[in-house]
Amino acid sequence: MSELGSSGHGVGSESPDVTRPPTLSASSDAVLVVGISRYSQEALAEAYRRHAGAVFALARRLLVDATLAEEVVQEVFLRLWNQPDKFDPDRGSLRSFLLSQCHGRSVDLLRSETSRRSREERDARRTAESGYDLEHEVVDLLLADQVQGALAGLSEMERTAISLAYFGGHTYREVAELLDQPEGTVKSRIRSGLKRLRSELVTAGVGGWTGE
Amino acid sequence: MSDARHEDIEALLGVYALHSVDEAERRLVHDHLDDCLRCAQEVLGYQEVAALLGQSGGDAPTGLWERIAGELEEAPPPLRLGVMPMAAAAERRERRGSSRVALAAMGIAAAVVIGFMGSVVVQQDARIQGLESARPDVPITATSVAALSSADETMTVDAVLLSNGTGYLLAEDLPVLTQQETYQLWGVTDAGVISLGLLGADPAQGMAFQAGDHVTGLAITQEKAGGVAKSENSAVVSGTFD
Repeated sequence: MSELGSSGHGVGSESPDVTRPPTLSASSDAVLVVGISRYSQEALAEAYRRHAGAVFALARRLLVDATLAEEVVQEVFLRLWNQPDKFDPDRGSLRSFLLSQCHGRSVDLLRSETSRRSREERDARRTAESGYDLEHEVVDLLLADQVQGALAGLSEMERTAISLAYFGGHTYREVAELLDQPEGTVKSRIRSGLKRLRSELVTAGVGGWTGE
Repeated sequence: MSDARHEDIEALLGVYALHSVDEAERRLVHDHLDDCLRCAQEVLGYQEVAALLGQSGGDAPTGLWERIAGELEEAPPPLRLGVMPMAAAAERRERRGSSRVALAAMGIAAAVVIGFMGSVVVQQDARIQGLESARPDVPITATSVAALSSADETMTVDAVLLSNGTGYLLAEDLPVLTQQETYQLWGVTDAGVISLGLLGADPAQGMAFQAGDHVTGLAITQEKAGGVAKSENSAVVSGTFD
């Protein structure tokens, strides 16, 4: 009886930039995830090559600490490896999925007791340096002009609330405290702001929208 | 669910999409989305907005991929399936008569196809098949048959793979398992072993599965209900296609 390994013919520890086959580099993200579901390390390497930079940038933006950000990136891609079925190509792009996973994990870390102090220091530093508003964050993240245009259409309250929630990692209750506003108002402004952004971006043809 | 509660949850959809809720609210919304397509669609739209806000260029740190690849090397436990040598499998098929296999499999095909979408086999790897729909055309194999056998040859399972990639099993020899267990079907490829789906606790009825031409053999393991991503169990039966 022979014993068979379960992994695909993997790339081992080589750089994905070096080893990716031409066929994978031309494949869609959905095809890559099919490969990942079949334990193809080349497919994961290609997904990493395409999206790890963006995932790391978001984690770094949220956590500041590069080491923590790297841990989040590692966790996000290992989760994709272990649970590829969590990604549904009918429900959005792979990058959106990975960034959402990254954001959720980063927020969890931000809210942990151990990182609370550094978070407070980070918030204070950001406030002192740049005024910390959503438009600056967006510029830092090299977003498309359409996204910035859509942001300009929000009220100041909507932009600030979304910024504190998304880039600051705050719960809406914390946002309400920070802005000295009722919780219901903050919830409502965030929802209305996202709804408006979505409408603007759909009109501009930005993003992989579902259910349109 | 009352209208008032639905409205309460609706009010949380935006902050939920930004991970800006506490754990209790997260669970509340998460459970609601399973039953409410409208709210689920709204959240998806917000999550796409959030992803656009968070998008950026740049490179990942040097050496990070190597660490991830190292974890992959360590994480997957080896799947230990004893696949019969090609010669032995061929000999057994000849002895049993492959035409009986093909005829029997074709005979159950119609019944199986009727219930195909609800098949237990499809449940496990519906994710893969759904994703595969985005793939370019998959090469199709010629019809081939396999006789899977246990190590002591007391149990046999016949399989046929049609030219459209659909395969059928006659697994009446397999004993019925408890409800906490299931049989799981695996395809043997040059690159390793992949799951082809769950067969349930009592696969006596004909079962359908999907496989490409890269699958050279089949194996069935006994697993806990729900199946596993990678098996550490020995095959109950195994064999190769002709």
